[in-house]
Amino acid sequence: MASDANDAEQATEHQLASISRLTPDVLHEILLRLPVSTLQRLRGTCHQWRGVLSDPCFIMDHANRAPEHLLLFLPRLEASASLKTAMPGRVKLFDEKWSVSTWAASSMDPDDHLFACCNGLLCFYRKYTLKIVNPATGQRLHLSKPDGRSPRDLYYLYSFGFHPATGEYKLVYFLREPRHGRSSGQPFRFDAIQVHTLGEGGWRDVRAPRESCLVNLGVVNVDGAMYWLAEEEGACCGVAVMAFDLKEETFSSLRPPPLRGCGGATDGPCGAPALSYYVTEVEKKACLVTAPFSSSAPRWRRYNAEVSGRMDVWTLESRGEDRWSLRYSVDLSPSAPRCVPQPCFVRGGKVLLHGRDGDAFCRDLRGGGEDDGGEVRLLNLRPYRYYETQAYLYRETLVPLDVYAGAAIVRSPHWPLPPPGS
Amino acid sequence: MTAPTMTSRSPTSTQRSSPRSLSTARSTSSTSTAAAAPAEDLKSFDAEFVKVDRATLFDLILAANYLNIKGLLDLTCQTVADMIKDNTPEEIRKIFNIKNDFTPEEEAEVRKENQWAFE
Repeated sequence: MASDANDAEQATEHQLASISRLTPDVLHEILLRLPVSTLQRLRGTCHQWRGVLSDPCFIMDHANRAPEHLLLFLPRLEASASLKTAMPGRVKLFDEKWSVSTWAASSMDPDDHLFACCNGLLCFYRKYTLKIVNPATGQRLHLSKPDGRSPRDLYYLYSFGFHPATGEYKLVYFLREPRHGRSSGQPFRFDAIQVHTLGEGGWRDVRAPRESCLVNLGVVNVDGAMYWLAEEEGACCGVAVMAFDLKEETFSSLRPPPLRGCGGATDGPCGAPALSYYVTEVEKKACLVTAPFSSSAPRWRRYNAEVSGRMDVWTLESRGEDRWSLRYSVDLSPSAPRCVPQPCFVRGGKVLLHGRDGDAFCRDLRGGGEDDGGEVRLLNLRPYRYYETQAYLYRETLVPLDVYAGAAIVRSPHWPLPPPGS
Repeated sequence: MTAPTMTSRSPTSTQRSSPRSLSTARSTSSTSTAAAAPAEDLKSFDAEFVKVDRATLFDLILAANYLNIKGLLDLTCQTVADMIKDNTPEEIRKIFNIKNDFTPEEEAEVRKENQWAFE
């Protein structure tokens, strides 16, 4: 009968317009193109979609495609003689075009101090706990610090990274050796670090080679390893780059690249100008950045001094072979010394710089090195102190935290509880 | 990769999609050797190209995936993504004829997942 034929045709048309015709890899391709906020909502569509959105491979593919922002953290300021009221910590975001927005930062409490950022997860140092947050999904984890750590610990002794082969996230704590009479601003030594694998157990000890470390200058996580600077006597220019592999949990020391003005001699100090060194991440590779520091910086800030003159960015091409290549080289204006936020200050071929009066600039690292040209003023940070800022590379991701909620050191948000009767 | 099935289809849509995708592939690959068309022309060509019914759109996606035509796959997947972007799961199920296979308990669980740590 005619109506039966019509019904059959309608059913066929219905089936043809159904998205379930699409193969899983194609569905994957479509969902990759949607932002996290949309994908969170789509979990409730059907079982298949929920499965795709929970698949770790999909989550990493999506994370790798997400646009990269530069996140600038301004630590909170206490009230003082010059500052009438305390200013809470603030976060500024620079998108791919370097337009700046202030983050609503509902994930951040006033006392939180950002110490790491990896795959869209932010790590905050708090008085009694460490907090890991994915601001895009809203999930958060509170973890207790290693035993015996006082509430007046230092945020930069903590670090966080990811190893792509194992898919594991690890927190790293540099156990500081007490040094009496050490003047501030000097590097300190450690002989062990403590590591926590997210989701598993507590903090584990890992022995470290006895070398002084400069982790206060920033630690970066690239390709499954943590990198930071170390002072090494006898090394060229007195500096080495340390690497800690997050899978093997072993340390290695990398010789720095042949730095400008250095004859390449490895015995004793060379005649190079006094350089500031930074370890950072550029285009998913570990990098060593050098720039001559302005000697007018006060001694206690010597390791985060203003720089001017030639800034070189060396990329580590191969960790196993200590092979570096010069990626960028640019002349910073000698008349206007600049400061860089750590640890990540290069994004999209441009570098983020601070000036003494609180201005933040971005400057192109490619092309000709004109003295004054190329600096674009972005905003002014006052009253926040330009030499205390930190910057990280951030992307919005779907990385879940609820899967790690079973570890022994997980705490509730309001831990420790106030004593009864207070 | 599975080949798109072209059985039990209305003749018009089969005839519509195969020659359409093949001629696009020819035109996009030839632009790499000949002088390239202006960007705006290509962009409006692309926009017009995907103004088809959903069945044809899925035909195109499956063909592009099977024939490994990256440009066409990008364009068609982005089109579907744009259709999904601002809609609720219920609206998406209606637009794309997806069966809701969650039990009420499972739906509650998904809602709870989404609110997991908004403590």
